[in-house]
Amino acid sequence: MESEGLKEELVSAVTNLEENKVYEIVEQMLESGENPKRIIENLRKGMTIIGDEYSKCARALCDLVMASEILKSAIRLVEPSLKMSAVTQIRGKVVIGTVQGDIHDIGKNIVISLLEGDGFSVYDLGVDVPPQKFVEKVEETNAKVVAMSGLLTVSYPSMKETVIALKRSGIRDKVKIIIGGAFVNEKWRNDVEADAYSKNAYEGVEIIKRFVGEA
Amino acid sequence: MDSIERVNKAINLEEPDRVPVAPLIGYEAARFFDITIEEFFVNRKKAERAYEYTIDKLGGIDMVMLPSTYIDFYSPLSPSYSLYYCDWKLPGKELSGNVMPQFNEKPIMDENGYDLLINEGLTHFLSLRKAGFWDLLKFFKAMKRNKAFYRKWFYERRVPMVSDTFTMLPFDMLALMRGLTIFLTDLYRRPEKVIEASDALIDGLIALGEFPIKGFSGKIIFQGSQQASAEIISSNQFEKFCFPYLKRMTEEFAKDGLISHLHHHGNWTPFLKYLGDFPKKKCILYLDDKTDISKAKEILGDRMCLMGNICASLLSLGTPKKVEKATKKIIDGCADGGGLIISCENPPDAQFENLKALVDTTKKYGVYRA
Repeated sequence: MESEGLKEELVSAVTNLEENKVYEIVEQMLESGENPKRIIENLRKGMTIIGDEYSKCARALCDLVMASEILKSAIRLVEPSLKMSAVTQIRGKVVIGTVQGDIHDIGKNIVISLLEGDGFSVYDLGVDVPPQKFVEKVEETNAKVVAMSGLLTVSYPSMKETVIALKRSGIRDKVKIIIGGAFVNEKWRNDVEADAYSKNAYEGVEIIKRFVGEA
Repeated sequence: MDSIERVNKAINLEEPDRVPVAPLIGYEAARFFDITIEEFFVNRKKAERAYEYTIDKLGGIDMVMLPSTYIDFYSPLSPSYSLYYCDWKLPGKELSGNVMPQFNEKPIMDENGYDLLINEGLTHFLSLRKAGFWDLLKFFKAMKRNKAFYRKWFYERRVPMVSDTFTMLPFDMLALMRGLTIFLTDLYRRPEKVIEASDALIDGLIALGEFPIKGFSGKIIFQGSQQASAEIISSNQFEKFCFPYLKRMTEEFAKDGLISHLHHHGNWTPFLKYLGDFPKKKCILYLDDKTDISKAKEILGDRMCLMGNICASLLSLGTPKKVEKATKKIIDGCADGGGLIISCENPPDAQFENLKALVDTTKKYGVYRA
């Protein structure tokens, strides 16, 4: 019963963004011998609640970013107690970058922060990334998701070229592709032949979670 | 009626002969003039010619802004558009010749910087610069050039500037210095430091806006806000970290007879209610298409002039018909009684025929009946 109470308290501390309280409860649960996987489940439960509220416009991006930072640090506290290796704990691999000709990375960095908070292993290629770099990273990591970011409308041809490069390398069908940025829309997605588009970081992460679930 | 009179009427919430139209001409002017963005960027004279060519080809517009060229990026005073503080990649240097300058976000202040800012105010920011004495001379040369541009458009062609000088909210400045993602966590981890630093910065940022305007005899101060939108922060955070400074800045400028060009990106719809008691007829509120401009008209129509709200991608990916429809929609919803300027931040790949549709539709459809 006490353990159940702590779990609820943990979820509530995450949703209230009470950073120190989250770490205290996690330490307490670890000391009492709680299964570390259950702790992580409850941390993510709190994150899911914040995400749902964000998608209903009841929260701002700021809350999501902070929750994600708290989760990353809390998971680091739990990790040493996990018997399974970190690799088996990851939810999926994502190769991400701002496409060639565009160096805006604020949106991309927020997506990375949310993905890492959600247990993804993220390979950040940085900005102004040529198509071949995406191909090489997917081949090296066997990632199932490619996320391309671009703020400018001029990033459109680069996204298209990256998809073509993935096709030429014979790995297009092995990955799901999502594009993100201020101007992306369904027409744009269709033209570049991506699998999905997203106008905001949270929605993008939700789509990536679905991709990984389908893989 | 010339453009100065037309825009003044709009700011004073009176009906001019027609709705003013002021698309923010940028690097697309290089393409229309058949030069590269690099040439536009490094050759200020050529940039001014490209700028004027575009405006004339459009049949004239009602507000102009300085073409953004290298001299602006070498300013030791402008905190954001300056190579001396921030990591900018430039056309023909780090970027290819036909790509506009791009901002590479890199934190330039760690958490200990807050205490230094609190003690030293804006002068601490100046200590982070990489510019020296000789760069100041470049800056004054740029000021001279900008003054000539202003004289030409304002006095000879009777077209006012979109902004005569520039400043920013402490919130945006701190986000710039810390990097947005880290700064957002600061709002939870060290809120009192953010407030103390904002308090320490505000006087300097007001002076930064007012000081150069004395040399221009202009009156419009650009107060940019890229990060303080409702997508990014909550209303509570807005009340705490942004609103007091935005209000103070606007009131100080109004006291000196100056106009605040509140240039807001992102969704400001939930924050519009806070602007209800800002100085009357002393603000131009620029809103992009993420904010519901009809709502702004409803809440602030008797208080400040609205500007915007054409979707930028429509100018590059849309058609003249679609642009015409969008322009008419804004005019239908917001033109009554004056206080409206049709505008958009043009993307570098904006199509000329779309821009022309924006200008022509406003000029024809936006006529006020006497």
